[in-house]
Amino acid sequence: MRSDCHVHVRAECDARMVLAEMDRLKIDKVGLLGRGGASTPAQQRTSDDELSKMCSAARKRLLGFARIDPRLGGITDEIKRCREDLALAAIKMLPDHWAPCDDFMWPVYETIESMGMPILFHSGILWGNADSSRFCRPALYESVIHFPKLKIALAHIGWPWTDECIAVANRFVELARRENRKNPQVFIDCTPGTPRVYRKDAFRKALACCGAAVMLYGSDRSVPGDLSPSAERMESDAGLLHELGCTADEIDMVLGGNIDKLFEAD
Amino acid sequence: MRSDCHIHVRGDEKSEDILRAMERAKLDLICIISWPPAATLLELDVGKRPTDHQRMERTARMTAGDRERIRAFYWLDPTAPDAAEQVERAVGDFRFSGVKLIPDHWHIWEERFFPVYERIQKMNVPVLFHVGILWGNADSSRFCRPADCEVIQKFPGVRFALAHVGWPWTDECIAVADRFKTMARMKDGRDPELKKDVVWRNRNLHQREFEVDVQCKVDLTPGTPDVYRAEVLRTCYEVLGTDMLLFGTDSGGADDLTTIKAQQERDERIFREELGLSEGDIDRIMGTNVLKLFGKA
Repeated sequence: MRSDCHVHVRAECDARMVLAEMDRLKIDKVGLLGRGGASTPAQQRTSDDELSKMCSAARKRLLGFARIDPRLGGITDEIKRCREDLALAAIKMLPDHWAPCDDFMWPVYETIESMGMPILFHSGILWGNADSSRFCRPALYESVIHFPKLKIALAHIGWPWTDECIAVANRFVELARRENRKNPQVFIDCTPGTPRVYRKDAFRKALACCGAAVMLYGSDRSVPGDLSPSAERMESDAGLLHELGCTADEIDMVLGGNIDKLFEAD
Repeated sequence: MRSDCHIHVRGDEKSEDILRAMERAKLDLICIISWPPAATLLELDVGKRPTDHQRMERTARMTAGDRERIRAFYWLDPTAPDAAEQVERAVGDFRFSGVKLIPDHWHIWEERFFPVYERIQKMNVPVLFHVGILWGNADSSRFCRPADCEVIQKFPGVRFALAHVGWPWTDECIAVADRFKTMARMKDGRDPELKKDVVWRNRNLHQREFEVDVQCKVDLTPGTPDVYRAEVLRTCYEVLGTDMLLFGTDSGGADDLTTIKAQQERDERIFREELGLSEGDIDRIMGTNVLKLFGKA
């Protein structure tokens, strides 16, 4: 199995074309991140409706991540609608001048946890959103420890804070081990992020500290558009993982099966 | 000499058992850290909530067999209204050798703690700061950045150690320690190369004749997973030299120190085989440097 947990929806798009592209490249599942960018509840609903419509073409292969702004009025109701009415699988958030440890996030986390949805968080440097990178430090996501059924993935291995990202994930891996939980709360989305010169070292440390079981392949590609670079990078990452001593099963986990763990209940 | 600057107690150890364990482990000096304050959020807490007085009394009893070899650090909650008085009692009445601080949803640099630091300075004991990722205390790692310790320069009589090399913020930890070292060397004024070129300050780093007493130390206790260890020790050595580095293990329970040997062997191998350190320098890091934390050469 091959999966890509990090594909942006940039414009309205025919799901059949995305599925055809996935078939061509032998990619079984993608995490589709909604357009988001909403400044009003109505815009948020439009983004979520559009994503749901796309994913309805093949919900087991197109996993919809509603991209939300947690500061929007009525966001907890919208999260419930995303799950209960729109059958969206997960949430995507990017801290834009708010911090994941802010008190206002508590009811948002509670709602997402109660809906059984994982969160894909941007972590690391931002190229948009003006001067908001400082809100995207991996350590700020430790707050999810207060919501033990909530699973999150930290995108981009948190680059340039890859060590911090690995340390946070490592902490949750150890916590899961101590508590005999099947999966930890925190996963590492290996989407670059990391320029090539950093990638091998970051993988080596993530594997040594956290293990292949918590690493997810992602590409940051967009649809509509060509997904070929995703497949190419997948091969490149497979090579790196092999060089670092991963077994074929471990490589398959990172490039494929681990995405399902985000959705497994403990 | 061999020492370990970072051992947590279980709470029920006996002094004679600790000394026996030290003999078996060939350790000359250890620093033990009292049970945490009641307010500390710890997942492994198992319901133990002794009072501050009990924590002082029990830990002090553990050191009674030999207070030169078993040095106790009192884990202080600086947000407690009587925090400064606790320092005075712990050091004055119970003969603690130092204070341990773990930022638990508070920042090291907050001015409300200055009276506590002043009291620590007055009592002339060092502080062992937790810096780096936390595995307890819920979501408090963000309060444990090494750079937050820069504020201690306001209290020049307080010696302190940055635990865990601040991992995952090891570069930040080393930078803070380098800053304190350079400040001390500048003040000392004996190194002619430093006067000429402070940017290239490490030219005489390994010259003993220019060594100074630095307020800040780096506690090498992991923290760092094995995959990081060699590169972190190398960076520490190349930026800071050997005189500020203290060996520690974060062992739990002071009456069974058998696991320390493997950590000693790992670090000594890196120092000896990968970094080419002399036996004298290895002895300092693994042993005698801890005395500098207490103001002894």
